[in-house]
Amino acid sequence: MADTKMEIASNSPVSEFTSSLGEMFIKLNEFKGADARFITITALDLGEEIEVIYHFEKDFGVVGLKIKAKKDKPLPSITSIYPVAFIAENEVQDLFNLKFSGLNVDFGGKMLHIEGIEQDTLLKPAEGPEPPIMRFFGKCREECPSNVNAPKYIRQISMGDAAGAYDTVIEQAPLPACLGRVCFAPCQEGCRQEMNEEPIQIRLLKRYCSDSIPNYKRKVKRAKSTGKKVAVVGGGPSGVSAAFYLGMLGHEVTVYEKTDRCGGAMLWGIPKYRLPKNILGSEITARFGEAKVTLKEGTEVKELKPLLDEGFDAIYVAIGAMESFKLQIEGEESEGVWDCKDLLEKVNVYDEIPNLGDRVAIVGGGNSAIDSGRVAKRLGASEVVLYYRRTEREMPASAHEIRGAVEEGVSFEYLVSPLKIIPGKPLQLVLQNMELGEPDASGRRRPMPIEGSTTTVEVDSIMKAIGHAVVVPEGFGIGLDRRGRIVASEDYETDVEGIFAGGDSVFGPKSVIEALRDGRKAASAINKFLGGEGLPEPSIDMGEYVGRPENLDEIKRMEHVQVREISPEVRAANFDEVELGFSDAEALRESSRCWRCDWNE
Amino acid sequence: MSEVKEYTVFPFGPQHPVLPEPLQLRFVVDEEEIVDVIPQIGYVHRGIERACELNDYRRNIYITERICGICNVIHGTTYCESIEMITDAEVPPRAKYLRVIWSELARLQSHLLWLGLFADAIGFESLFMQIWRDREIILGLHEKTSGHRIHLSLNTIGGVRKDMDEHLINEYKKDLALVRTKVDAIAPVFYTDKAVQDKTVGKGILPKSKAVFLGAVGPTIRGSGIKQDMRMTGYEAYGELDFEPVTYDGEDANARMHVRFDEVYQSLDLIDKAFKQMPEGPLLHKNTDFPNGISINRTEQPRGEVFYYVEGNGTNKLQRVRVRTPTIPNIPPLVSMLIGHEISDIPTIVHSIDPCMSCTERITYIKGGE
Repeated sequence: MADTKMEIASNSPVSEFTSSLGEMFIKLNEFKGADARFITITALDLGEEIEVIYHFEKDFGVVGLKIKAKKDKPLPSITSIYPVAFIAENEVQDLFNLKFSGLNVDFGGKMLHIEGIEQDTLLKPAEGPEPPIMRFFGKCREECPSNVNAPKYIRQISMGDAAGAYDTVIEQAPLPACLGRVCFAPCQEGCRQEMNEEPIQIRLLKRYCSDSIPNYKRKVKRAKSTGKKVAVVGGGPSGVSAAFYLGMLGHEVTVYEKTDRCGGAMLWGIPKYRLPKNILGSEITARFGEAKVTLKEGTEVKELKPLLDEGFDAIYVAIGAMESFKLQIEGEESEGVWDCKDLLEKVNVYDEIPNLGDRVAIVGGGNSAIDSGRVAKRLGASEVVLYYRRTEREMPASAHEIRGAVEEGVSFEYLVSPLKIIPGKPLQLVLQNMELGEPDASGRRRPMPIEGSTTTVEVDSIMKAIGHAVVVPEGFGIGLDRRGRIVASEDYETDVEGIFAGGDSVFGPKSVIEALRDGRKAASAINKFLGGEGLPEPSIDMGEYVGRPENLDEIKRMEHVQVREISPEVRAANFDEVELGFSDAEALRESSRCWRCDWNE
Repeated sequence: MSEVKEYTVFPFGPQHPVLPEPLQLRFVVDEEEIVDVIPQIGYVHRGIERACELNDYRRNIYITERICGICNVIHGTTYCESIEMITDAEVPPRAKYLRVIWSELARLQSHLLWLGLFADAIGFESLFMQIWRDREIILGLHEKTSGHRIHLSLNTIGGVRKDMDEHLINEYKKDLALVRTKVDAIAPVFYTDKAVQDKTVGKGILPKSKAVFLGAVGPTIRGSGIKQDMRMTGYEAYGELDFEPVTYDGEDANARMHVRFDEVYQSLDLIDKAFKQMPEGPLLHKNTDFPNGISINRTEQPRGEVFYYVEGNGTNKLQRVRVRTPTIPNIPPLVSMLIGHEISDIPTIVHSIDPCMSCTERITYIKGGE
C-alpha cells in the first residue's frame, strides 16, 4: 500500500493513501473494522479523470483514501460498507456526472433536482452486484507449491499481454517455458471452472505465453551489485532458481555443475518429447544472462570448505537425488538390466539410441517408469510392459502421463513384484503376485505377497525405475539424516553457517515446481543472511482491478480448448514434442474461461 | 398466505410549521408507527462551492460566511484558517482569542435559538419566546461589536479586522452575566418540566454502538456518550483553554438537549476564560503569497464538525473548495432514530439533531450555462 506523503496542511493529523480500485475495499473494510467515521467525499475534476477522495476520521486524525476514476466508467459504491456515504456519493454523481454502481439509495443524478425521482428506501444493503469484500489467492494459486500468480497471468493472457504474463510467472518461478511443458499442474486440480469438469489448462497457457517470447529473453533490471559472492552447487531446477533470484538481488553468483549442461533432473529425467532440450537450455541461458550468473560446467565440487575459503559468502547446495535405488534381488547385475536414469540420460542428453530388444519390462510406477516405457516404445520395442506392485489407483505417476503411455501402446501389469532375474538371452523375470492389505504410513494400501503364486515372463531387457536416492559427497561435511539426505531448517540452513541446501537433496525426489520453489525460498533466506531484505512473499497484486465478468453463466459453460497433439502412431516412432501448444486464438479463448474466483463479492 | 400490509406515505416538509428548514422527509407509516423514512434534500442549492472556485480567494470569506447564517463566524474562521495553512499568514495570538470568543458567542446564540425551536416543537410556546428574548442580548452584543446583528464578518486571512477595547469587553462581561442569570432561570424548566420530559426521554434513540458507524457529529453524537468535539484538536486558542467536551449517556433526544444546554454554560465559561487569558498584541499578519497546496480543516460548529478541503494552485483563484457541514452526516442517524416512533414524536426527534439544511446544500450543477 502506497502511503503518499503529500503535503497537506491541517489542524489534525492527516494520512492519505493512494489506492487502486482493487485494494480500495480491503482498505475500507479495515477502516470499518477500526471504527473509522465516514466524513465525506471530495471529488476533483482532473480533465480525463476524476479524483475521488474518501475522508474518514480515526482518533481525531483525517484518513483519506484517494482513487482516480475514469469519467465514463462507473465507480463501485462504498455504501455496502458505509451506507451513510450515499448522500456524498449521490452528490458527486450529480455534480461530476460520475456514476456509482450499486448505490443503496440511487437518486439517479437527480438528488439536486426534485422532479420525477424514483428512490428506494434507505439504509438497506445495496442491491445489484455488491462490491468485493475480499481478494483471495485463488484456488489455483493456493494449490501451486510456488504460489505462482496464476489468476493474474491468465487474465493478462486474456487481455493479450503475453509478455506481462511471462513476467508474472517469473516473479515466483523462473522457468515458465519448461513448467509449461513438464509441470504436473496442481493449479488445474484447484481450478474452479468446474461446470464441465474441465479445468482451465493453466499449464498450456503458461507454455503459450513463454513461447511468444523469442529466446525467452526479457529486458529487466538487476538490482545494484551488493558485492557479495554466492556459490550454487548443482545446476538443476532448484540451483537455477536460487542462482537467478540471488543474481537479480545483486549478488555475484557462480553455479557449479558436475555435467556439461545445466538442467539436472529436468535434463536427464524428462524425455525430449515432453521437454525439448534446446528450450530448457535457452531458457536457463536467458535467466542466467538476466541475473549475470557465472556458470562453471563440468566442475564437480567435492568439498565445500575450499569454496568458503575462496571468498564465497554463502553456498547453496542443490545436488539433487541422482542414485537409483536397487531392486535388491538375485540377478540384478545381469546384462540387459538397466537403470532407468542411465537409459533416460543416454537418450535425452546424449542422443544415443541403445538397443533394448523387442520386449521390455519396466519395474516401478512413478513418472520415471512411465517415461522409460514411452522412451522404450520410441526406441523400437514392440512390447513394453510396466510392472507395478500396487494398483493403478496407488500409482504415483500423473494421470496425464499414464494416458499418454496407454495411447502409445505401453501395457500395465498391476500387483506384481519382481522376485528374481534369471540371466540369459532372453532374460527371465520371476514376479511375485501380490494383493492389497492395510494402508501404510503413506496412506496407500500396502501390497502383500500371495504365498507361492509367481509368474515368469521372458523379456529382452529390464528397466529399474523405483526411485532415486540422495548421495552427498563425504567432503561436504554437513549433517545428513538416516536416508542420506541433507538436514536443513525451514530457512534452508544446514548445520554449517553460510551453507544452505534445498531441492531434492533435502526433501527427496519431488517435482520441478517444488524444486523451483525451494530455490526461490532459499535465495530469499540467503539474501537475508547476507543482510538483505529477502524476496517478497507471494502476495495479491492489489493494483490489479478485477471485477467479476458480467456474463458469468456463459463463461462457466464454456468448454475447454482441446490442445493439438501429434497422433500416437506418428509420435511413438520419434522424439518430437507431443503437444503442439495453443495458437493465439486458442489461448485467448482458454484464458477467457476464467471467471475470477479470487475476487469475492 | 401472509397478508399484504398497506402502508401510508406522507410528506413532512419542505414547508411545515414545526420544521424551519427546507428538508422533506417522507414517512412510511403503519398507522401511527414510522416504518421507514426517505429524506429528500435539494431545495436550496446555491452553488457556493463553485462560486468559491470562480472568485478571488479573499472574497470567498464573504461567500463562505453566507453558507450558514447562524454559524457564519465559524465558517469564516474555518475558511480563513484553511487559507492560512497554505499561505505564509500567521495569526497573532490576540486574533486567535478573539476568534474563539466570537465563535463561542455564535454557539451561544445558536444553542439558545435551538432551545427555543425545540421548546416550540414540544409545543411549549412561552418557553420558546422566553429563550428567544434572552438570545436578543447576544445579538445586541453582535451589533455592539460589528454593527450587524447576525453577520459579524470580522474574520480575514491572517487575523481579525476589529479589536475589542476595554469598554466593549466590559459590555460583554456585563451582558453575558445577564445571559447566565436568564439561562439559570430557565434551566429548571428544561431539566424537570413534565411536558419536556415526556416528549424527550426515550425518544429518538441513537445507540452509542451505532453512532460512529452512522457518522453522527456534534451534540448528536455527544448525547450518545462519545467524546467527539473538534475543539479537542485545539485549533485557534482552544488548546490553551483546557477544553473538555460535554457528553451525556442518555442516547435520546433528552440527552442531546442536555448536551446543548450544558454547552451554553460551557460557552459562557470559555468566553470568560478567554477574556482572562487574551494577550495584547497585533490583530493581523497578512499573507504575501497566493494559496498553494492542499489543506484539510475541521472545526466545531454548534451542530458539529464542519469539514473544509481547500486546494490552491498558486493563483488568486482556488482549485477546489469542498465544504461538508454537520447536518449531512446527521441525516442517516436521524433516519435511524425516527424508525419505530410515532408520528407525534417527529418534531422533537427531527429537531433533536438541529437540522440546518441551508448550510447543507450549497452546490448546484450548472450545465452549459442553463
